[in-house]
Amino acid sequence: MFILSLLRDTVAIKPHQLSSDQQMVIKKRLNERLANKVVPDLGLCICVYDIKEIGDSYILPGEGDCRARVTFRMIVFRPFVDEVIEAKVIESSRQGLTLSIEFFEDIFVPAEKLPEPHVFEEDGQVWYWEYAQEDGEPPAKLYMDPGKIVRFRTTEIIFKDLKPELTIEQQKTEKSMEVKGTMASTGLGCVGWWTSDENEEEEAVEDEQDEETK
Amino acid sequence: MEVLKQRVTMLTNQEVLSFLNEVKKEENSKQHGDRCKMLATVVYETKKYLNASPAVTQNEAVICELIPKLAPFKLTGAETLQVINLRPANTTDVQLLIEETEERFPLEDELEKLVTTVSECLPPPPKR
Repeated sequence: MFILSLLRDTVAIKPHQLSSDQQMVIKKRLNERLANKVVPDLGLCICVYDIKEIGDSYILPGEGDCRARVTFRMIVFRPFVDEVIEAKVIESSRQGLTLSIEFFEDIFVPAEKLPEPHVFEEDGQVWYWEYAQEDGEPPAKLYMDPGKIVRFRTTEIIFKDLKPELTIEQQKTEKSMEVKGTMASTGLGCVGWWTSDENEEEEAVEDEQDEETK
Repeated sequence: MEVLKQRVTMLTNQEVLSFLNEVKKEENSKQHGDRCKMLATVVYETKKYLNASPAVTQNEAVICELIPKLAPFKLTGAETLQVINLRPANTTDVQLLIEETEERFPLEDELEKLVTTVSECLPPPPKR
């Protein structure tokens, strides 16, 4: 989910900051510029990990800033293809599900990648997985409604270079980084679907213990 | 800005969480004017996610203990990372994280042994 990337950037240090700790000043400048931002083809920057090298600083004619080339490492959110991640459903529509991992909310699972066979319920706009039961009972409806914790497998990461002259409307729909995923495989989908057996066993054990104490 | 090397290494969720805890402490000790607003937001949100994940109960020691024990199972680096991050508690979960499970683990016992190793080393995740 997280990687360390080696980056290089030029950082300007204001004259009044020259007396304070250089590492701290540079870290702050880099975090201001990059934290919580998407770097195209890299990922979402979380924060500066450490500073590897501060190059020679130079002063441009006509200003007092000290500029230095800094090589540093950054913690970046960039899932790899096939990585399994747990996320929360935040939006459900006919097109598919939008998932969130708190700090990143542009994760999309298209309808055709939901567990088969899946049905969309117009009433309430939610998806459910029609799970066929073995004992001849009608199939169970396993809902994937907003708020549920689900597991998905990353299939693709799409980066898009957004132009600055976007309307507010476009800004909402256009994403500079989008993660696409699938839930169509055993073990994927709602976390509760696959752990319930274990809980039942635990409950059964508890029941037995209760009986023994009686 | 230039990217010199896209991926130097990968980090486990536990490493990121403990690093962010340090960052938070450092930020809190600073004066208000010196704090970075964007950083505070992303640190808060990332911590919120990781605090609900198995990473919150782990520490460096338990992970270092687990890795040599995983060697006999011949997992790839990415698979090991996934096992640490998600802490599979049953064979269904493990099959999800390991490619071509049936060919590499023809015996169900081997998989169960892997699950037991992981469950023994890593503490149980927080209850939701």
